[in-house]
Amino acid sequence: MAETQEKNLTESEEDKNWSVAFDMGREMGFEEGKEIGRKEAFDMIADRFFYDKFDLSNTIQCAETFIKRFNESFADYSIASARIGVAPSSSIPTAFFVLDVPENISDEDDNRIDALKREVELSFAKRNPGHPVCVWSVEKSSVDMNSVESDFPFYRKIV
Amino acid sequence: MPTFIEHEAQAASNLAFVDEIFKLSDNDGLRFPDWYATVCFYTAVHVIEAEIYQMATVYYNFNGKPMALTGKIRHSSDFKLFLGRTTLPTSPHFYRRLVVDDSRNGFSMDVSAAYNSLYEYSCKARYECFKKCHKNVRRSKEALDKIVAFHKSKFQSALP
Repeated sequence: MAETQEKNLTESEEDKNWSVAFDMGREMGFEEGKEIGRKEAFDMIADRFFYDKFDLSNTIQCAETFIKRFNESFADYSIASARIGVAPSSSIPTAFFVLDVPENISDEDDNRIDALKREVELSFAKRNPGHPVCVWSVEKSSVDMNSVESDFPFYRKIV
Repeated sequence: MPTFIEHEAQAASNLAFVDEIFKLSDNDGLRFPDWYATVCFYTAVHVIEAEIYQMATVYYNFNGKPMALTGKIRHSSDFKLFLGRTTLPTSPHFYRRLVVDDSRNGFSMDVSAAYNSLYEYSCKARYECFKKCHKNVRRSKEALDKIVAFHKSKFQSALP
């Protein structure tokens, strides 16, 4: 029983990690069959938008790490949109978040969010040297979603 | 290729501009907070490029392998001449980030974080068009101050 639970948990975590590519594959019209949709979408996104599959996978994992740590640390706030793409001016793979936080968020919490982004970026830089990742966020109240969607087209459906 | 002195001169000029923008306020506070963050970032770019110009050996990672180039890199844009993979980005911002993030080049975690923050603030103006990002003004200045202080601790600098 314990073994089954552990296995399910692992599969669910893996699904989460791949959900960005999988969701995009479904939207691009790939068939619902999970394996085919996921693989084809992942390959296409990696080829067209990132340098290689490692960079795409690395960025997704970085995004997942931020989501997990944000949700653990900021119970009163939420992530309205989690996206990935590349920064337009540098082509650095980027995890981009639209945060649902109050407009009058305290400086202290704002600083903690900033520190979390830098911590996740630098921990990934250390873990995978040579593969920089940016972790950026904007507030929902002020965002121009057209620009966001254009630069960071791949998103996670459920954050 | 700009020299150490030329990078510093541009950084000093940008710092003066940062001070000028800071004086331009209205009832809402600073009039151009987004541009403030952008000028801070480009000041940091010149400070970091001045550092790179002085490095005898530049360390970086390629395909997960630690690498070093001695006497070849004087600017972040030089990297693309020495890396064989054609699909790599061409932007010097990409390679500057590799250098700043690599602790073997002597940048502390604090300086890396400050540089990465400035890059984020300078780019965010593109996505935040409905309000002035006043919060990033204080943070941009703090981040830039860290980078300038780090630079001045290593070199006899002309920066104020």
